[in-house]
Amino acid sequence: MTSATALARLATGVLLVLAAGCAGAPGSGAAPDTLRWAMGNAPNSLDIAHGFNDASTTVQFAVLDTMVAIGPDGRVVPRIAASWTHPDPRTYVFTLREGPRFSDGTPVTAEDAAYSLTRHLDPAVTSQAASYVTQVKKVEVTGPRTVRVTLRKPSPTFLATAALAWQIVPKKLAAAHPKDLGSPEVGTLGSGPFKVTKFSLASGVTLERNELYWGPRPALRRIEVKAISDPETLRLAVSSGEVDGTNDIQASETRKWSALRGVTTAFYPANHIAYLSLGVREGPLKDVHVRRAIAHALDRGALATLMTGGHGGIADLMLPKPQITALYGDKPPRLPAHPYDVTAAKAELARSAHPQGFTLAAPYDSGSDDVKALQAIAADLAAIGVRLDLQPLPTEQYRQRMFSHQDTPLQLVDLVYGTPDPGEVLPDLVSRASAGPQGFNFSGYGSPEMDARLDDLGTHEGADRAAAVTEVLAEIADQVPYVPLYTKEAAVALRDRYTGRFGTWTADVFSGIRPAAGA
Amino acid sequence: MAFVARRLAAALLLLGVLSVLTYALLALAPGDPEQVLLGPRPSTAESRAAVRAQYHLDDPLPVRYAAWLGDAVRGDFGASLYSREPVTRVIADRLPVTAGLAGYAIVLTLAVGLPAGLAAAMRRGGPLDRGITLSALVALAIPPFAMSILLLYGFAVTLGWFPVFGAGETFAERVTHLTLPAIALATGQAAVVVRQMRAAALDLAGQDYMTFARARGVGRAHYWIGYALRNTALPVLTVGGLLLAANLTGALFVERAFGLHGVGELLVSAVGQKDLPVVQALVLMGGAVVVAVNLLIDLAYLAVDPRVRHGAVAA
Amino acid sequence: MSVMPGAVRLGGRARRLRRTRPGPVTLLSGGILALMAAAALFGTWVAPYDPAAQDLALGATTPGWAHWAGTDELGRDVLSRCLAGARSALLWPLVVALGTCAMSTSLGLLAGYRRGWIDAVMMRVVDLLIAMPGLLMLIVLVGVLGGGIGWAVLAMAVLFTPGDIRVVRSLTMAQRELAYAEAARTLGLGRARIMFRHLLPNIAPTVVAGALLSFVAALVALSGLSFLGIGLPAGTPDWGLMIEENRGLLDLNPWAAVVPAALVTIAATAATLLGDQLFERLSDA
Repeated sequence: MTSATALARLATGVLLVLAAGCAGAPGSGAAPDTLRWAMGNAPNSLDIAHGFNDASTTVQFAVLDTMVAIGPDGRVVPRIAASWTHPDPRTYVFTLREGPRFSDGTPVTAEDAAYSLTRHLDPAVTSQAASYVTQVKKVEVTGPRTVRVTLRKPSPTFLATAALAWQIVPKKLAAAHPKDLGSPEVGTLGSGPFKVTKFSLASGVTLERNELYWGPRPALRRIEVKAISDPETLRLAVSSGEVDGTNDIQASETRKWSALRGVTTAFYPANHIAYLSLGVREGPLKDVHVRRAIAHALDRGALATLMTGGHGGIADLMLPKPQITALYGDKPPRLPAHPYDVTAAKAELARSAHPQGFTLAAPYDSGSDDVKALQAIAADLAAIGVRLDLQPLPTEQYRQRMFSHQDTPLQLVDLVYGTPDPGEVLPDLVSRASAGPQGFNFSGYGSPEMDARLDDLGTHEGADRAAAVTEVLAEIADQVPYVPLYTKEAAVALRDRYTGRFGTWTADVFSGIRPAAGA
Repeated sequence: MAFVARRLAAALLLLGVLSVLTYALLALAPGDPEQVLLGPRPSTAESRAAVRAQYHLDDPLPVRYAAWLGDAVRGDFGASLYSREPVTRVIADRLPVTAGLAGYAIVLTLAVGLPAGLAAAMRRGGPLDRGITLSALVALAIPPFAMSILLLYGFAVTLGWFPVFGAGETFAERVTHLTLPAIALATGQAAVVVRQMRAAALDLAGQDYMTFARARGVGRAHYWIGYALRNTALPVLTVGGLLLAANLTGALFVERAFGLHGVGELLVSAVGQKDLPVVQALVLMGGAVVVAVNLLIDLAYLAVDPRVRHGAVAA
Repeated sequence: MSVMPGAVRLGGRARRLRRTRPGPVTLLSGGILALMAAAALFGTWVAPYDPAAQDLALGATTPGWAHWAGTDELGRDVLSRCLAGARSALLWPLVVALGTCAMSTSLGLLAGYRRGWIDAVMMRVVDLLIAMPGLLMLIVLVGVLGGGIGWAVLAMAVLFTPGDIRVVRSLTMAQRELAYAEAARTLGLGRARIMFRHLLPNIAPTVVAGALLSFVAALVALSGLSFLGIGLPAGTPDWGLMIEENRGLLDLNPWAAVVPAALVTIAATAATLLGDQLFERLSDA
C-alpha cells in the first residue's frame, strides 16, 4: 500500500472514532452444504415465459428440467428425453426418460412435456420465449412416452433452442396459470435437482435439494439466493464472507475479483460478442468509407484489455467465440480486417463524403458497464474527427430505443446467446426481416442476396455449412455494418469453502458446486 | 370537526391531482409497457397484440385512468408488469425494511439532534455552539450516498463490525444490519434537527415568559429543559414527522448502497423497468404519507396549543 | 441604483449590512467559493492535463509526481478532472438556485402584495407542490422522461420553489404594511415598481440566503442522481459523476473518489455557512 492510499484510508477512518455500539462479525458458520449465492437482480419469475433474463434463468435451470440439454462440448445431449429421432428435416420424435417425477411426487408425462412447449405459442401466455419457438408448427403426444414435434421449415437451431426454452412444467399447473406461473404467488413445480421453498422479490429465493431427482444427487442441501443490485456492494459481500459465491461479475471488474483473498474466481468463454453497430440506413454511416474509417480508428486491443481485464480478447469475426469454435474448431477463417491504424482511418475518411468529420448520437444504458468502453471509443473516434454525443438512458428506456431502431446511429451492443449454432446469430444481424422494430439487425444492413444466403445456411451441414457461414462473415467484414470489438470470459466467484466446475454451456450452476474437501 | 373534515377533503384532492399527474406523465413518457412485459428478447407480433389487448393499452388515456382509479379505490392497484405480483404485495414485502430503517434513523436523529441543538443554544456563541453548528453544516453537506460508502468501507469492510448488505431475518440481526444504513440516513437529518432545535430554543429565549422564568431564578438546567424543550416540542415534532415521511420513500441512496430491498430501491428499479403500476402506487403512497403526517402534526398542534385550537375554532 | 423616494426609508436591516464588516467565517467560505468559481471558469486552462485525455495502458494509479491525485480507470488525470469538473458541478446547482430564486421571488412578491384571488390560488398550488414527495417525484420525472440533466434541473427548481414562495410571501405581507410602502403607494407609484424597487431590497437578504440553500440542496441532490446513473452523460468531468465512476477504485486509487466527494462537501458547507452568516447578520435585530 502506498502512503497515498494509506492517507485516504485514514481519511475514511476518521469517522470510525464516532463508532458507538458494535455488533458481532457476520456469521460464516453456516453449514457447508448451505450455499449463499448473490446476483445483481432478483429473479422476477421462475418461468421462462415471463422471466427470460439471467437472474431468473439461473434459478429456473436449477429447478426445472429441459427436454434436452447442451453438453460440455456444445453438443445437444438427453435430459428429460432419453433419446430422439429426426426422421425427416422437419420432424423430431422424442422418447421420454422413465422415472422423472415433479418434486411433489407426480410423474412427468408426455402430456406435460408437449404442453410445456406449446404454451409458448399461446397468445394468452404472452411468452417472452415465443420468438424462439416460432418455427414449431405442432406438438403431438404420440404414445405414453413419446412426443413428436413438426416444424414449419427445417431448422438447425431447433434442438439447441429446446435445450433453452423447453422447460418441463406440469400441464395442470401451467394451464391454470397462463399469465402468472412462476410468480412469487404461484411459484413453479419442476423435476430438476432443486425445489423452491421460498420465493420473494424482496428477500430472494431459497432452494432445497429435490430428494426425488432422477439424476445424480446434488452436493448442496440448501441454496439461499439474494439480490444485491450494487456491484460494489456485491463484491464486498463476497469478500466479507456474507455471501459464498456469485456469477454476476462484470468482465471489466475481473481484476478486482481475482485479487480477493479466500475467493476463487473461475473463468470460461462466454457465448457473447461485443460489437459496434453502425446504422447504415441514413446519415454519414451510409458511406462504407466512413464505416471503415471508424473500424480502423478503434484501438481494440486497449479496449479489450480495459473491458475484460485480460480475461478475453479482440473479436475478429462477428460471431461469439464458442460458436466459432463449434463450427471451425481451432482454425477460424482469416478474413480481411480493419486493424487499428489512425493514418488508414484518416485516409478512409478523406475518401468519404465527410472528410471533415461529424457528430453521431450514441445512446447507451446508463446502468451498464458498457459506459467505460463507449468513453474509450469516443476518445478513439475523436482522433479522426468523429465526435460521439453520449446519451445516457435508463435501462428500460434504452432497450426501447434500441429495439425501435430510431435515432440509434451508433451503439455498443453486447449480447449473450443461448446456443452453439451461428444460425442463432447471423440471421438476426443481417437479414432484412429483423431490420425493423423489435429486430436485432440494429445496423439495418441487408440485401436480397444476403437474405438468400442466410436461407441457404439452414440447408447445409458440415463443411458446406462452415463455408456458407464464412461467406456471410466475409461480407460483414468488408461492408462493416458492425465492428466486432471484443469477447470476454464469464466468471463464477466462489469462497474457498466450495469448489465447482463450470463451462460455457453450464445452464444449472448450482449442481456443479460442492463443499470443498475439508470444509 | 369542520377543520378535520376540511383537511381530509384537501388531502383527497391532493392525492387525486397527484394520481392524475403521475398517470398521465407515465403514460405519455416514451416507450411502451408491452416491451417490459415481453422482456429483453425479440417478441412476435401475436404476443405484442395479445399484451396490448390484455392491458387495454389501446384504450384512450382517460378510459385507462378511470379503470385504474375504479380498481384503486377498492384497494386493487393492479399487478407489477415486471413480476406479475399484485402491487400491494410487492410494496408490502418491502415496507418492513424501509419502516425499520426510517424508524431507526429517526430515533438516532432525535437522540443526537435534540440534545446537540439544545446544548448549542445554551452555549450560544461559545466554542461548543460553534463546534456543533459547524459539524451540522458539514453533515448536511455530505451527499448521503458518499456517507454510505464511507461507512461501508470503514465499519463493515475495514473493521468488520457490521454486515455489508441485507436486512437480516431476526430482530437482533435486523438491528445490526440496519445500524450503518440508519447512521448514514440520520447524519444529514440530525443536522436539520440540530439547526431547527437551536433556532427554536433561541427564539424562545427572547420570549417574555422565558425572561420572566429567568428573573424568577429558575435554575439553568430547569430553565432550558423544563421550559425551552417543552415549548420547542412542536416545531421539532413537525420536522421529525416530515423527516420520517421523507424516509419512507426517500431512503433510496442508502438502500441501494447497502443492498437493502426497501421501498426506495423498489422505486429506482421500477422506474428503470418502467413498471408503471408500481411507480404509480409508490408515488401515491409517498403523497399519502406526507399528507397523513401533515394532518397528524396539525392535530397535534390543535391538541397541545390552546392558541391554535381557539384560532381554528374561530376560523 | 438611483435614490428612490422609498429608498430613503430603507428598512434598518439593509443599512446594517453596509456597516458591518464580514467576519473570518464569511471571508473563508466566500474565499473557498470564489476559488471554486475560478476553477469553474478557468479550470480547464490551469489543469495540468486535458481532463478527457485517456491512457488505457496506464489505468488507475495512485498519486505521484506526474499525477498529483492519481488517475482513474481510463488513465485520466484526477486533478485535472476535478478542476474542470467544478464547472458542471457548480453551474447546474447555480442554475437551479437562480431559477428557484427568480420564480419564488416574483411569485411570492405578487402573492404577498396583491393578496386576493391570486394569492389564494397560488397558495393552494404551493400547498399541493409542498405535499409532493420531492425526491420521489424527482426520480420519477427524470427517470421516466429520459435522464437528461435539463429535466433534472427543471424538476429540482419546480420542487424547490414552493417553500421559498411561502417565505417571500409572508415577508412581503409584513413589508407592505410598513410606512415606506404606504408612502410609495400614496405617491402613486406603479405596483411593479413598488414591489421590485422598494419591497424587494428589503427582503433581499432572505432571498439571497434562500438561494444559497437551494444551491446546496441542488449540489447534493445532483451528485445523488449521478450515483443512480441519471443525469450527465458518461465522461463529463463532474464531481458527482466522478464519485460514482470511481468508487469502485477504492482499492486502486481511493483519491479518485475521495477528492471529488470532499469537494462537494466543502462547496456545500461553504455555501451554507455563507448563507447562514448572511442571514444571521441581517436578522440580528
